[in-house]
Amino acid sequence: MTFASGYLLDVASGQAAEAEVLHEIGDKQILDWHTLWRPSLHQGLINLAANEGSRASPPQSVHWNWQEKANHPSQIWAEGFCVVCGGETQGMMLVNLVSQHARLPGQEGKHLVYVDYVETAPWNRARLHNPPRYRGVGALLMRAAIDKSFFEGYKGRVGLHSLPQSAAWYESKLNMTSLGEDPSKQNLPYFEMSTEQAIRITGRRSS
Amino acid sequence: MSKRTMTLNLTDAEMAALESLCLKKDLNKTSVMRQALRLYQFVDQRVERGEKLFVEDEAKSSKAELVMI
Amino acid sequence: MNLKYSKQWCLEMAQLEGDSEVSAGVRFLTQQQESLQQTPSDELPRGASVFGRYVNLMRRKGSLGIRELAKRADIEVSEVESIEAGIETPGPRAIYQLANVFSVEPTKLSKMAGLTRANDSEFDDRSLKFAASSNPNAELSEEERLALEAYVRYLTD
Repeated sequence: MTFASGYLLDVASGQAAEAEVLHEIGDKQILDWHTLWRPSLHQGLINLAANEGSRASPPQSVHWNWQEKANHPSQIWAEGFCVVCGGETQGMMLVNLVSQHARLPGQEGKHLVYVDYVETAPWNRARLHNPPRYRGVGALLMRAAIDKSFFEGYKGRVGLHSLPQSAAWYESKLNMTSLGEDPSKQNLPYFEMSTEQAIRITGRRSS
Repeated sequence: MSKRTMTLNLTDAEMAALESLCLKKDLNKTSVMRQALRLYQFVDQRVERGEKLFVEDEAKSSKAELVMI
Repeated sequence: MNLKYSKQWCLEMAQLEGDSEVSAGVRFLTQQQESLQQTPSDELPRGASVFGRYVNLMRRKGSLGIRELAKRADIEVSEVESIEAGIETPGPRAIYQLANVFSVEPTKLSKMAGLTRANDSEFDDRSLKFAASSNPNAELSEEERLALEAYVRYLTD
């Protein structure tokens, strides 16, 4: 099910590559995770050790098992999204519509789209494979989360617990508001996007 | 994603509750009903797995099980 | 829904994203959380489950406890536990070390762990049949022993 069509940056050519954001994590995504992502991660870890030495810290999502994360289609409280480009799954995201409410002053207690998990394919991660294949996967998935939030009447509000290595992306580049480390979630930093921030990022007209 | 439409008959009290929730949650009626459905499924699945749903009052140190039918 | 994200927006955001890490979500699930989230499935997941079952059976065949296996392979006890439970993707070092302990080629173990492309439907079929036949309880049954021996022969041929 196509949620949106957009583009990624093909790093090698410097050109835009057509991409689709699908509103699912389906069989194709699980197959790609097993047959493409995991071997790429394995090689990426070897590259990391070669570049940064044996004390290199591996990506903090290395234990994630997307087969188990993928929700059953009949579940309506959690929804999957993925980015497909060049016939391969470039990124995946699982959002939850019930488990969290907004914490940011001014929108406390209101509904938001909570990103349970988001990850880009190992070959798109510069630490593992340099140069990466595509850039922009994270942006497409965040845009999808924001648009989902608007569609549900949550006015663009999005929340997530970032892995520490990704905090700069959410805070400095997406300008989400940091609410500090959350002891109930492994002390991961919690970030939230307000309606105003969502409108600014997406260029939406405020409604 | 295809959409299906249904007509919902509510009592005056139910409609009042729905409208009150809309104001409180800053959502339209459809969004409130969809959220209610999600919550129902979410809780139902957890209870089916053998988990229990409690409401807790920390101030009174009391916890009561919420029985789902 | 079929929204259209403009090329300009996408390329500007890709430029902004650069080589940033974007992952969000809890780092790992505890075993309890894993078992709660699992949806029963008729089809065994590939990769971690096959590998975990293999390690479990090889350890029990050698009458080794988890600590002893961890010591022989010079890896952490927690890593052995996670591998056997099928919740951890074994790292390259763990695969190499376990391959030495079990006298199997590291590349074959790597394929079993799903970390390299099998490109080999026979490998996948045998791995799945092997995983389906095993039982994680303490004693190796005769059936498990035969299945393990057949699988080890296949791996070492």
